[in-house]
Amino acid sequence: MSLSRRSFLKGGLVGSAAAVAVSSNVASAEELLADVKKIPHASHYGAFYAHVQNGKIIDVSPQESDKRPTSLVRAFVDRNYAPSRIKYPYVRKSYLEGKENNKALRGQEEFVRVSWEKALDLVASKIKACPKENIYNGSYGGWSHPGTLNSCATLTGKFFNIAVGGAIGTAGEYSNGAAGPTNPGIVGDMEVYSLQTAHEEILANTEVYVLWGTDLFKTNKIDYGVANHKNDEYYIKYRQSNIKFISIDPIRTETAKMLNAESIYIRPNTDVALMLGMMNHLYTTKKYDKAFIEKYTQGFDKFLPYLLGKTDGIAKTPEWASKITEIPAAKIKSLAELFVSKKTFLAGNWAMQRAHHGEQVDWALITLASMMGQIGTPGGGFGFSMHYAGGGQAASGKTGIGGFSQGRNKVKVALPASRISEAILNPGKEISYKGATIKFPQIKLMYIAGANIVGHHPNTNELVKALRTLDTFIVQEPWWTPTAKMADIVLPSTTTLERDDIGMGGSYSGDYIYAMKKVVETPYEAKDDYEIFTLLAGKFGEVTQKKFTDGLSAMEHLKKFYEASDAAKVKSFEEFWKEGFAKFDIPADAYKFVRHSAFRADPVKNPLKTESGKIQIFSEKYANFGYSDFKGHATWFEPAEFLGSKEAATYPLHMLSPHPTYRVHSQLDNSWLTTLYKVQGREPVRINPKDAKKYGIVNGDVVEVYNARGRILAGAVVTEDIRPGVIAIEEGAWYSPEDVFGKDERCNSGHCNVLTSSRPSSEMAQATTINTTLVAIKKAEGVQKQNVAYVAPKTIDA
Amino acid sequence: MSKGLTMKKIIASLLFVCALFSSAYATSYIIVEEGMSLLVGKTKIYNGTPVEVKSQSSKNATVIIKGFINPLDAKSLYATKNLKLLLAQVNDDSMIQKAGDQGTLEIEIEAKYLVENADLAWEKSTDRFYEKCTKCHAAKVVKDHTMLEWEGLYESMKEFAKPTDDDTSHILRFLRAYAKDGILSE
Repeated sequence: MSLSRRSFLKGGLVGSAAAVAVSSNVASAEELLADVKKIPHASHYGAFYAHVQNGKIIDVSPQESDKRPTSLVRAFVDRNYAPSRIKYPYVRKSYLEGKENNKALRGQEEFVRVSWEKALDLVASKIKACPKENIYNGSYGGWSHPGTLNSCATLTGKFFNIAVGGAIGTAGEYSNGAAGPTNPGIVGDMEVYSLQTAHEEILANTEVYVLWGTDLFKTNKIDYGVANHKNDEYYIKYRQSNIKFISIDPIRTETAKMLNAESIYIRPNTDVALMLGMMNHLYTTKKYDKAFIEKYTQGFDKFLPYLLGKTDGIAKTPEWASKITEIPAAKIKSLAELFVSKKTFLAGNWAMQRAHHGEQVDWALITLASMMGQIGTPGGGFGFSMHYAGGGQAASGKTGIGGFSQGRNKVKVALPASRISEAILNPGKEISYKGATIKFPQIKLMYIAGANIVGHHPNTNELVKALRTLDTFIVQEPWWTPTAKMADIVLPSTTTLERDDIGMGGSYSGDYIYAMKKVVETPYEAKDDYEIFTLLAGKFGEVTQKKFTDGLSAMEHLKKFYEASDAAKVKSFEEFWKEGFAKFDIPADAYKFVRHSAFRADPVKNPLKTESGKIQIFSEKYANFGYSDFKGHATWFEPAEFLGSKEAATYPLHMLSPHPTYRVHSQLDNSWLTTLYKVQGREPVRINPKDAKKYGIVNGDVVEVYNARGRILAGAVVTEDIRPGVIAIEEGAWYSPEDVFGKDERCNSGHCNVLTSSRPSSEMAQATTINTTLVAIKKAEGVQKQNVAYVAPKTIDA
Repeated sequence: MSKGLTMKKIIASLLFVCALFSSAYATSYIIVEEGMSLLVGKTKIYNGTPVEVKSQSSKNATVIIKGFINPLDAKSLYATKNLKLLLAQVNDDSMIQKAGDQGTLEIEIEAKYLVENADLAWEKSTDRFYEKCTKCHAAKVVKDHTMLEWEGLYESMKEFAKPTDDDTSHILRFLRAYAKDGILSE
């Protein structure tokens, strides 16, 4: 069978590394005479060897730890040479000139090249002039790369804590903003990151596996650490097993297809209603596990009146749920009965809780799983992280590498992720958060290293408005991301391929330590993140700089980090660095891990970290918060906008923004890989043929997707793989307004967050609700300019 | 030395002397260089434990440790009613004077194990927390969570931090001490 390069790569596999060229570096005949060095490196997409000849990367090949290499590694390497690289330090023109009212010009004017000395002096002077209580450290998360030495988020925190005593931080997160703070009170653990039941136990025991909104194959391509793609080997076994897979999802995912899953195309944001309908049926037919409820849970008696409609007059019957979910009542009943009659594993996800009242969905699923009574059994129960970072893999249990301590942050204000625009625009405003009150500080200076807030933050137009009120906005980045283009001062950092570092993977297996060796020299004036902060610390005095570096060189830190691990007991740092990795064996017992099995075996001896030590079907603590949008038990709240709300008359489509297939969020959107899937240079929007016909759209059209918050241009992909009434635009396309000087212009790139709302999930978690978004669609009208998202802004380099 | 600083020192010394002669004893904290606890005979006193200094010479000090008693284990004193932060363990429970659910232990220790600054006493555990728990992300505000909540959060994250048992002991003690329902504030 012949396989074109395009289809080969779209499959996500790189079977024969040498068969596909990397980037545009074509060796001349003379260059062929030079030696080719294979240098080990590692990324969120896998560990590999970069083949380097004459100082250029000419190819890559996977390391032995990468069990199923993907094309993302090639895009990662290609990105190193992208035209969007930031070559020099820059300062926005009118900011440099100190002109009044220059803030509104952010993102709209040219940058002036300056020396490193001048740039760092300017940054230091601005930080020194600003009280730490007004500085926001926006280096969110650690997704920029898996390197520990140059970890952008860690270095920024360490720098601010040492140099000025701290800065405003972020509470919670975008990924699990609703479930993360809520689940500990219910089941004593965030659950969304916890070690999952091992694949071996699933394969040996599970009869029904519910993919509840989760797309295992797609999202496990990447890892917070270094991906190993071991899960792909298990998915082949899953397919060959007798497990019945059921996908409850508005989208028919690649995983659902591969596993021959039965698809239940639920209305978005209505999963809690479905779960309540199932629970009501199990209770009224006496098919639930009463013994489990009595022994392992607390508060069922306080939840039951709500389930039966005695507190609000609405019995949560399958018929009631059917009207909300548009799943037939008979199907709801048969699913519930199937789940309790077979060993059933409920694989939850994170997308469902990125919605209005997102706190409820995990709670409802845990309550349903409790009524099913299989929690803690081999192959049964629930898990919220089978889709993440190799979830289900057995853990080595070994001590990993060390890292930098950020030290104490004396600024005790942390803003819930997703509240940033609101905070900037409303200093002094008070909001509820987890039973307490947060008062928004005044943010005057924002510093972001290795993060793209104009990518991950909801309601882009609101965010841009907020960013244009700051006094100073500093961005440290290798590329001209949409965030870098909005900055006042831009510090160019090296890519991981241009510096030495150390990383680990996979996040759950914890069985490899990687030497992320420098592969090539940077062709520009970029500096390593560690060096940038070291130099900046120097601007605050010799003592500050020494405290920042601990008097150690970068390589000495790498050695220290490695020697903190168990690997150092069997392999010296020098050997490790030479070989490129150290490997831990996985103990045999780890393959038998069953989540919550200890609790099930003895709930008195192994209590959960909850009020009662049991699963809180009702939480007194949460009930006492007294919120109207978050009660003491799992509750159905109608989302502010969904297909069942009156807003659907104006905006009739529910937009989902799933994790991207070929990126980590916005990373790799500036690589050649995009040419394989973008439609006329824009992010694809999946739409059902019925809707496409209704709106006069055909495959490949440029369409305008819009609502009251904004407008974007995207490329239509007409497919039966999505439910009618729902569209999907993967998150992470680089924001690119058609006219930078316009107001609320169309995003020419198809960046979904132009359309999403910054409405918080509830008073409890104040989390992002990006999957609660109604939109309308039409064939694009007017002049469609070239998408310049990946082009550097105008610069004055003389 | 500036006059202002000298005056501050004098005032501080006077306050210290006043405190000694008042009915309440001065509070100090146990600091142990090696390990998690100090062994006095068969009594174990944990690092960071707050004590009232009843009397002190250059070499020794008589200290009082006040805490809560586990009804199932009267040989242990805990910092708070939830019995999560262990302060001291005795071999013979008659050493602890009991009053309801609380108890008092009076014991003589070497004065070198005392320090007045709580943060200094807890520095070892504090550093361990920041070293293990901020290498990937910023630290949460410790005071924002109860001890129980921290235990749950720690369970969630320990797979990624990959701590040793010793790390875990230090980190959990630090989190419990500075938690919303703990005994100290950062």
